[in-house]
Amino acid sequence: MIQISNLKFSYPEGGFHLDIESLSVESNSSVAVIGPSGTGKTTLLNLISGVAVPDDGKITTNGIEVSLLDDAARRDFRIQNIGFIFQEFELLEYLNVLDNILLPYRISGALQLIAEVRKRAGELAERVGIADKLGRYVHRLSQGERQRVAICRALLPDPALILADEPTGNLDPENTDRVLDMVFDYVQSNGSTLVSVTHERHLLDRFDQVVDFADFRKAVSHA
Amino acid sequence: MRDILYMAWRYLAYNRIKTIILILSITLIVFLPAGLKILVGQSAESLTSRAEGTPLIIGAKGSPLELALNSLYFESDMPPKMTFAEAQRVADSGLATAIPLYIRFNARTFPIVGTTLDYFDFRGLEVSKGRKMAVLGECVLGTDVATNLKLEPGQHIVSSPESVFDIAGVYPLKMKVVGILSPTGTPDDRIVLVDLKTTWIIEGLAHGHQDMSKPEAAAGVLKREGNTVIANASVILYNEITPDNMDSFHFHGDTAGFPITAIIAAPHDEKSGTLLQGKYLGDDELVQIVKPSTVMDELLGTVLTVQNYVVAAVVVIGFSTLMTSVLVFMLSLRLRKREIEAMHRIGGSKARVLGLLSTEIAAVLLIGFACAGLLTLTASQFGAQLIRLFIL
Repeated sequence: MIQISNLKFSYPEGGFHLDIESLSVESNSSVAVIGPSGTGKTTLLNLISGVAVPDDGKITTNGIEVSLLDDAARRDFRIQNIGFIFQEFELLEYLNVLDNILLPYRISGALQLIAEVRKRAGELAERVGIADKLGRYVHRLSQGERQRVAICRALLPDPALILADEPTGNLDPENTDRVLDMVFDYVQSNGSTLVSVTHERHLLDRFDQVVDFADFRKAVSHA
Repeated sequence: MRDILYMAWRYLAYNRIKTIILILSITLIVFLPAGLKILVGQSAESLTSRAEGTPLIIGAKGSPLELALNSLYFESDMPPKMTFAEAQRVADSGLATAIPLYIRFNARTFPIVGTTLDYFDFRGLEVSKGRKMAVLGECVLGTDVATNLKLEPGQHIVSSPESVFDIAGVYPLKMKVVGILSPTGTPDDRIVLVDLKTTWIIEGLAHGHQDMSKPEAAAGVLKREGNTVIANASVILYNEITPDNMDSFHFHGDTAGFPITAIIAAPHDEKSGTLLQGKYLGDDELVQIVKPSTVMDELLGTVLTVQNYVVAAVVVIGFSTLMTSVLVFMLSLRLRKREIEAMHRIGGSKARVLGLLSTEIAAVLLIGFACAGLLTLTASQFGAQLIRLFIL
């Protein structure tokens, strides 16, 4: 699913350097990325998704070397293949719950917003327990409900890869379990891959693989 | 495109207060200079058209502007009075038709214009209901007066006292409405037209009272000396002219010495006009002759200068408002940086994200321009009525 070899990346302003010799993530598996702040965990997600382009080395995602695509193609690739879940949810406050779930279909021509998609959005909302809140603005939802909306938005295009950046960082233990259950259910039932950045070490048991950025460079262990 | 429009609409609707403020700002920036220009243009046209239709005005020496405004638009303070003899002097010169005006009194805030029947022909006034005034105490109402006071021919209107506390002042005169003028779109719509002599009756220069030779008036007689009868205050003075008491109305003194405020002089030809103006050039003249169009041009020159200053001020204010609006947009973009970044990370197309932001700005501008256009159109359509209502 994801193959990284001899990856080198640094930001133009300097002060940060990421160097990964080799990393492999299988399909239908879940990977936790851990490590101290500022070691490049989020950058890794950006490199995998093509938001950032490596200085050197190779990343293939789903068999495609994303960095070789132009900007528009990389965006299309992301929206068709990758579901993003953010720590701060990144929902649009001026849209209601349903419109937030449908957002990927409204901001890209690569996805077609047809009746089938709307139906699936309703089913996803039903599955995560927010079907009765589809018409509400997101600021009227609890933190847990907002993250569930964000998960629906990420899963709606049926992505093969889910990239989650501290998805439970702002949630209480009850909602943390609930959200993770949803994501893992989806990964298992759809044969998808999950790469999740997390600081919560007690959750690591749930992942198939843990990538530890503690030594900044590489330290891959298998659960 | 539909998705972009939908999201832009949702954003604008959600941030409705900010949106309304921005739209209002754009509307005012565009409308104020345009609307001001239209209104001033229409005011100028309205002022000059009536002035140009009035060749010459004669009045007592004083402010020419006051004389013109009072005689043409029945506005401003009453100019100094002159005698009716001046009207006879113009008529006697054979150079022009003299239409005397006496504009001093009001009836329920509407000016009472005392004149002659020539005024109807001169202004092209037509009576839509009833007839022109024929005898003392009759009046013809401008269309706005009739509408506002809900008066019809056959009903009455009373002249207003000049001061509630002036017991020695003029008595109210109950006048019979005999006609309503057709709408003209000029200040004539808001006047009460009466015969010149009727205004003199209101002033108290003529009056009607009980016949002192009749036995029922004997109680009021203090002394008889030949044809002169001295009576006390119990003698009944009439405040309405009826067919029964009309004969009792009489003037004290020579009407040539009675007051008028202006004379509209309509020269028979250009040469007559020039000759007539020449007659009033003497330093010892107590009256002046003015060409209303010249007076109004001078006034408009001042108005247009003021307008230029106002437009300049509006442009400066508009520019700063525009800059503030740009700043609001910029700050809004900064506040939405995370939203834009999130859409980028999710995979939103650059064109759609940019399209969304520019559609929001374009919508605000478009609605602002549309509102300004609508207001400008309204000003051009109804500006003349607004001017008549509030200015003239």
